[in-house]
Amino acid sequence: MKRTIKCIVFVGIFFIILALLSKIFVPKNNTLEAGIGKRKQLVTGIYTEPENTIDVIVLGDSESYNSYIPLELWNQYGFTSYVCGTPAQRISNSYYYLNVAFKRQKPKIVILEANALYTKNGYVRHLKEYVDKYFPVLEFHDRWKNLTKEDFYKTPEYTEIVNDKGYRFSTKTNKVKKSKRDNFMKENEVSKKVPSDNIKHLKEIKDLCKKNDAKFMLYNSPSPANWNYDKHNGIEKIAKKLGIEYIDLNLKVDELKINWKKDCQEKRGEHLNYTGALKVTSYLGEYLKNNNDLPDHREDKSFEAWNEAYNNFQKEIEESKKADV
Amino acid sequence: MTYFGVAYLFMFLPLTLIAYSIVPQKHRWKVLLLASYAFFWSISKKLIVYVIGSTFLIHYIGIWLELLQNERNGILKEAEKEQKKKIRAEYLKKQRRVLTFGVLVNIGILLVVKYIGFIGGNVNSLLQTLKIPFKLQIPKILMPIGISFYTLQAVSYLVDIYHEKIKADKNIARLSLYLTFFPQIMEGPICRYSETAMQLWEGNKITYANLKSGLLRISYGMIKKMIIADRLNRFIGEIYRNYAKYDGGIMVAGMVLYTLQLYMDFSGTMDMVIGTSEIFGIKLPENFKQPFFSKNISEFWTRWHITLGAFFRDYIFYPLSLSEPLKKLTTNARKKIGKYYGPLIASAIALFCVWFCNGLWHGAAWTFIFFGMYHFVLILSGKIFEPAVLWISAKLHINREKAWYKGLQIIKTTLLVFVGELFFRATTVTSGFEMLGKMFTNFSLNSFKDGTILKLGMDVQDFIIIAIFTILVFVISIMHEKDISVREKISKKNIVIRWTIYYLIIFAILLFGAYGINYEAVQPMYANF
Repeated sequence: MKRTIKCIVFVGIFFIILALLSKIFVPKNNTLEAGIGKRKQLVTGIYTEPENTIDVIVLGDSESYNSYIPLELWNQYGFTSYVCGTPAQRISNSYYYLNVAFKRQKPKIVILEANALYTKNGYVRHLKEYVDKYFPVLEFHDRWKNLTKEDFYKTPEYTEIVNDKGYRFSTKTNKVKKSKRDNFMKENEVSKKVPSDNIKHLKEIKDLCKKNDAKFMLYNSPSPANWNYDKHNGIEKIAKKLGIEYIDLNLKVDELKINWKKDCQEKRGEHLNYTGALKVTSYLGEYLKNNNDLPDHREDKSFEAWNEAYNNFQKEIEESKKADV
Repeated sequence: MTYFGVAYLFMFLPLTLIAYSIVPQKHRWKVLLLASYAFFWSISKKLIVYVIGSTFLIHYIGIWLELLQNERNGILKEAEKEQKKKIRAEYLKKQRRVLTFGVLVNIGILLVVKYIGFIGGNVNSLLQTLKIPFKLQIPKILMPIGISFYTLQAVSYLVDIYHEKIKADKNIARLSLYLTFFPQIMEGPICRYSETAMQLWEGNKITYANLKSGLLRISYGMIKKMIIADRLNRFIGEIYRNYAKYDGGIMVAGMVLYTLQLYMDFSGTMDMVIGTSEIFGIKLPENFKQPFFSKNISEFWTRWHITLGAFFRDYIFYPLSLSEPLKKLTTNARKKIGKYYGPLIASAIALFCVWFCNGLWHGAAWTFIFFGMYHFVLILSGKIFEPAVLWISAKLHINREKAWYKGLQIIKTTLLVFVGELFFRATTVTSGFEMLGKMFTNFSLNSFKDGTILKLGMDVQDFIIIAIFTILVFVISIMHEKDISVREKISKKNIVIRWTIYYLIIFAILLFGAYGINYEAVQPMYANF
């Protein structure tokens, strides 16, 4: 009995220290200087964009933030978007971020990159999410290297507007292996089942959009590593059943002129790089503009910050070109 | 799943421990076997058939050997005295055939799975050099986890039965557990049947003392692996990949720190393995004994990867040295070149075989073969020059027992180990020589002064953390060398000091461990061998 109590006290003290350290280690702002990290920073901009300024919200895993470029759409069509994609995002996280977005924004369209619908929510992942939420010290443990005085008393408050609006700029290029890209979308009748848990969350997202007067649709970015016709059939089936619009760009790689030697980041063809994303974005932009009533804010003075952001983005592209040379 | 991953530490291991404690003692082996197969499956999936196949094979070969022995014993009882020798020889021959078959199949599988790419690649290079327009199609064979380790255990089991050191196990489940026990399947230690099989079967109770002691050992392993070894990974990778870009000073840093990384990684994993087994009340043999306090290379190999060295000693070196041809060679050589150098020739041949196998065991690459040969040459020359060294020491009145002399021997040995590990890690033997060459032809400290050293994947804080924890491991090693048990010392302190130490260990790992998005997860390095 005495031993059991001792164990409980030991574990109790452990969690208290962990919670205290979490208060210190959690970044106090969403800036890189505050230690949020580049990848983590991408999605945090949805908390800081001015209220009711975003027209399109994009959700999904890495396929989303590697293929959809909000600033390019701003430049071409004048509507605003934000990508709330996160690495290996589960559909339950998509629902969470959509809720966050709806708190401050009134988007007209919500788009989900459908790859996330096939990702199962494993126990380890659950545990990790729980731990990251309540004990951020573990995620940000490396911050011991640059803790400041402020970290000991300040509470976190996000203020930074994220320039690329959730898009992860990458010029990394690898030629996709022939074995990976050839016939990866060979037509067949097989339909890969979407996990029932994910269908439940998909319905919740759809309902949430309806409640907030936003149109909801699905798309898939070209990805020979992650996509095939079985999955296409599975999503098409669900989309039809639930009455959700769906475009699979894996079927349109020729129309998009995807160059497998230049447009992908990895040899297996997981993610598009900037040139690939540009092709997907242009296609989606035209599709969204032609099929929906989206505003053009380019002449609106209150959206001047978007022009600045676009210019910064262009500078980023130029700099990366120089670095490549 | 790996030993240092979240899935293993927070799901697999606790669930196995809970299941193990709640089932009655006589069923506990089932929990361990099930967990072991589940662990194997989680990494190698269908390749589990290899280990199942090996288990069946050695089970029946073992029984076959024992049947032959029983049959021989029966006949011997009835036989006349003068016939006994003949009967023994006849049965020895039969047994040898069975044993050879069992060993060859086991080793054969390992050879095919592990070396076919290497052999085929070399044959193709040769064909190309000779301008023969023919190319071998090399099949890609996936390697199941731990095959290099459990194959040696399987071989030792059969040889031990052959030598009648142990009886064949009629229980295939126990044999299977001996081969696949999950904490040791990835990296050893390479155990003998007589050391672990019965312990694994007994299903000892998990006691509070074992749990505490095992967890402490595990956390020591985590400090070594997660704080030191994994933090070094990016830095080491950069230097060995792009060595042409850097000067000799960086080469020295790369050589020394790679040895540190390998030691912390492998011995840290061993702490994890042995600590985990300790919780289950199972005592596994140690694989490390403060190797950097060795005074010569032979001693180093009795302190580093001990169970591999012991395997080669018992199953290659001794049998070869005691074989008829080498015994004859020794007798002849003794007459011609004397008592010291005479037996050395046979030893050298056996030693060559040991180190050739040792090199090759580590992997199918010329760097590993070179690594083996390097140690062979060092150990052999140590033996050849020993009389000369003793003579010179006597002439110069050097007391070899003095601390300064021992210190010099330790430094010399450590330097030789550094060079060996440089080739072990180098991408090719040529690049190993180029790196070594740079230390002499292009040595400079400029990279340390101009900050280049801090641009290779580690910053000042990383170096400081590595230094602090390496010193800690060094101090603990000195205590172990003096036979002081650190864990015992901690357990005798009062609760405040004890708990403070526990929390310091836990939070040191959580804060300074190289895990999370800023680091690449590093598989235990010996798991690939």
